[in-house]
Amino acid sequence: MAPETLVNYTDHPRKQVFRSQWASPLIQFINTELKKNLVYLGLPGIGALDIKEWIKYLRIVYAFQCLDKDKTIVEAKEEFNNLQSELNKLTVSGKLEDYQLYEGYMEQVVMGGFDDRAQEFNQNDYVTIYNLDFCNELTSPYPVVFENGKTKFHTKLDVIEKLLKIQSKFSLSKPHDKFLMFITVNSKFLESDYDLIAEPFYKKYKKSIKNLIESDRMARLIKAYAFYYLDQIFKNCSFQVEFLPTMYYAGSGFYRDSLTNQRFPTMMQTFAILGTNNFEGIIPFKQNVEEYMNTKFLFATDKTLANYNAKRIVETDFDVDPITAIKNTYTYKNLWAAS
Amino acid sequence: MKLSQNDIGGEILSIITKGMYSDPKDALREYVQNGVDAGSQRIEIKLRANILVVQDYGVGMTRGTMRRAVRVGMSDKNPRLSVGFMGIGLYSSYHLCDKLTVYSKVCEQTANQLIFDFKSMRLVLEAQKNKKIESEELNEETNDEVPLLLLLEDCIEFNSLTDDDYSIVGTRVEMSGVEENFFMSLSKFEEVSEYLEKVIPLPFHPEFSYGKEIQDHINEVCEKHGAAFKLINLNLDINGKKSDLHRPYKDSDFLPSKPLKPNYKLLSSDSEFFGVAWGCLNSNNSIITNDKVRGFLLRKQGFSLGARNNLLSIFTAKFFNRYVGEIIVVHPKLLPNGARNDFEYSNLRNSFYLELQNVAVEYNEDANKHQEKEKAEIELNKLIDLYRERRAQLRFFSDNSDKLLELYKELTIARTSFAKRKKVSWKIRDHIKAEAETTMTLMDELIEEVKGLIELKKEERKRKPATIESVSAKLIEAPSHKEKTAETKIPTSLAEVVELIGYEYSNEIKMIFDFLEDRYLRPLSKSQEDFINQLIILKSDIEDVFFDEE
Repeated sequence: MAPETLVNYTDHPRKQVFRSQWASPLIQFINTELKKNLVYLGLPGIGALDIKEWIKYLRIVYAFQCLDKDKTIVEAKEEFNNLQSELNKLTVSGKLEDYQLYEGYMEQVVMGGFDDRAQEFNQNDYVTIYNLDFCNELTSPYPVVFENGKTKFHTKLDVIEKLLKIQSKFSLSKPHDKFLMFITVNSKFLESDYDLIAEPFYKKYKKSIKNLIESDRMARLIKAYAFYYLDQIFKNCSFQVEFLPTMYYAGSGFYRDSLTNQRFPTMMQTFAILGTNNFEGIIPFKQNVEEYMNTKFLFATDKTLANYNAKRIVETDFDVDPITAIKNTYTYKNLWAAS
Repeated sequence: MKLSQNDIGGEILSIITKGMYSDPKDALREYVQNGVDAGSQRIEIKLRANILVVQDYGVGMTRGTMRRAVRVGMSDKNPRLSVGFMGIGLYSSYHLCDKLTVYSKVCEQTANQLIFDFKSMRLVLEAQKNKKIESEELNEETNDEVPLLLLLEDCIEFNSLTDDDYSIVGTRVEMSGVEENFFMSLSKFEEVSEYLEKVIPLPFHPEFSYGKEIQDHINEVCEKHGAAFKLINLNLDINGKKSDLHRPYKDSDFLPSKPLKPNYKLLSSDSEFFGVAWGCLNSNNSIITNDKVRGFLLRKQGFSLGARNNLLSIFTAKFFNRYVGEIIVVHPKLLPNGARNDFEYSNLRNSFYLELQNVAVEYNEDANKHQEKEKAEIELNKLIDLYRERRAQLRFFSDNSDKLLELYKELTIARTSFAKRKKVSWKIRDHIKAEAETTMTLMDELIEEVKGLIELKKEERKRKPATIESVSAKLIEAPSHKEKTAETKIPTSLAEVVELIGYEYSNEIKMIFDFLEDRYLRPLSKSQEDFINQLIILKSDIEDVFFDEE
């Protein structure tokens, strides 16, 4: 039996707000749009709470263990078994058709091709909902061990690229293929990584936010960084990409500032991205980066969603209703509705 | 004598299951067998992380059947109708996993669930054992050993479920917490599929040309004798790597491209019908190289009993390994033993094996006939080639006495050898009998001609050399070399001779063969060609010796 703490595990309220007020309506929308239950790939976390919340829209789940370095091996194992027990229960009861569950870091499983129990990573379906709830840094490298014994460092961006490459294999003959991808990362970020971007807009943008308080500035840098690389990765894998407003909220963890020794909440960002297969005849669409960066963050409090108003910067308001957000996209109006 | 529950210890469970299920994959066979007995047409085996599931879509178990399923060594099943009947199969995963959960639902009833906490059972027994080891008193009689009944009562849970919990008609067997020691073996798709393809009554592989014909024949014979033979569609899915499984035979296992047509034999005595056998012989005159499929496999109602090699001694290696076949036994009273590697000892078993020996002799004879026909054709081709070549060359050395004598000797030996073998063992196929006769006649003529030339030379009478026209006219009369469909493998070493005859050997034995070859065989040969010829003759002679013995 799993300990009480795992059985009754609940996420912090902001996460629940994201799950039920932002992600759920979007998932329901895409479910209706596709007229079929969805294939989920992601890191459902302890207790598979997101899967349970969205279960009526899901058909198949590809799940990865959500590990972090602070957990002991015993804790991680317990969480894994608990997650499997939840997924198995959903399958037995017929609420879920099937699932796959991989043990270990996602970087290892996806890039290395096998998990910590030497199980091969096999994806047999076109994924329609990704929930890549990484929770840690987007750019932190992880040492992946390959079957030939070699080790190579890979980041979460590499993982996303590999997943999209796998996805593209399923979508060659299906022009209507579309999907929704959530990526959650924390706002800790190496600024030097951002400086590698040579495009003038990004240099200019960095200058324009230099007077913001540090956490707001970093949040915007990582948002821009993610946009720059994910836009390229999607396109390299033959997918059209469009970002919905990015969510920003205080995670459950804290960190101490090395200079002031002050304790701050770890700030999180969740990107919601619409992906569409680059089918023949599609008019290439490039989302306006300036417009995207100038849109306010979607902020989750403990109870609701709102526009995030940062000091010392003027950004554009938007309707926080997720359905309005998706219906206002170029992707929905011109690609999804058309197909 | 009155006994109590304390007279049967819990350890019995461990002893029985360890003895009966030596391979962790045997548990899969047991649960598939239950599914087949429940009338399921399709079964799915899935491994997800460390939960292994066998799902069948049979009739399911009622509450009462499920309650009785926990019994040890007692079964509701009738051995006449079911493959499993010993009442132990549910415990086959005792050593394999921490927990076994069985969900079962009968149509229009709600489901039930059985949970076996094998881990706790093992821990209790382990603790009991340790306590005994640590005990200072030797041979101390203790009353604190856990009886089987208590162990089962404490570690088995029975629950009634709703359709919300489980709604599929059939049975789902779930092994969770698969032991690390067995996990690697059970998580390798190739290893598990190879095992299942061997033991389960699966449909034939689509790449086996005669699959449908053989299955139809088996069904027809079984139906005629009122015997049951059920096939099962089995899907194996190991963490997403999945496939429908088939019996492993494929055309590509045979040389040159497919086997000869299947040969069927009935296994029946005057009073008993045991079943049916089928066997496909390699078209080529050599063994089948894939040792996972060659030979005959014993099956009881489709489930295999033991390994293929178990029947080798009945058939003998020479021909056994040239066949792919199965012995399908359907006699309801011939029951598999606990280890599922043979039948239980009985007079009926003896009768069956006597009958199988007869069938094996017939298969061996069929293979021998085929082999001798093959050999005859090879030798006939050689004779035709020799005739054509020497006939064409004769004009060049009709004046050369030495050459003529050499030629006479060569032709006479070839002709005599062919005639002798043809008479003794070769069964020449009807359609080439005439060609063989023509060749022999032409050879006789040629020998006579050469003999005449030698005589002429002796008498120093001049004779006009043969013209090209006359040579050509003679050659037109001769049969053509027949293109063979089946390639015959020519041995290139002494070890290969033994291998081609059908015997397996270890690396050490191979080294001995190589030594004998270098030390004794090669020094006797004038050239490589001569050496190969010696090997061919040796192979043929060994085969003759063995066949004569048989």
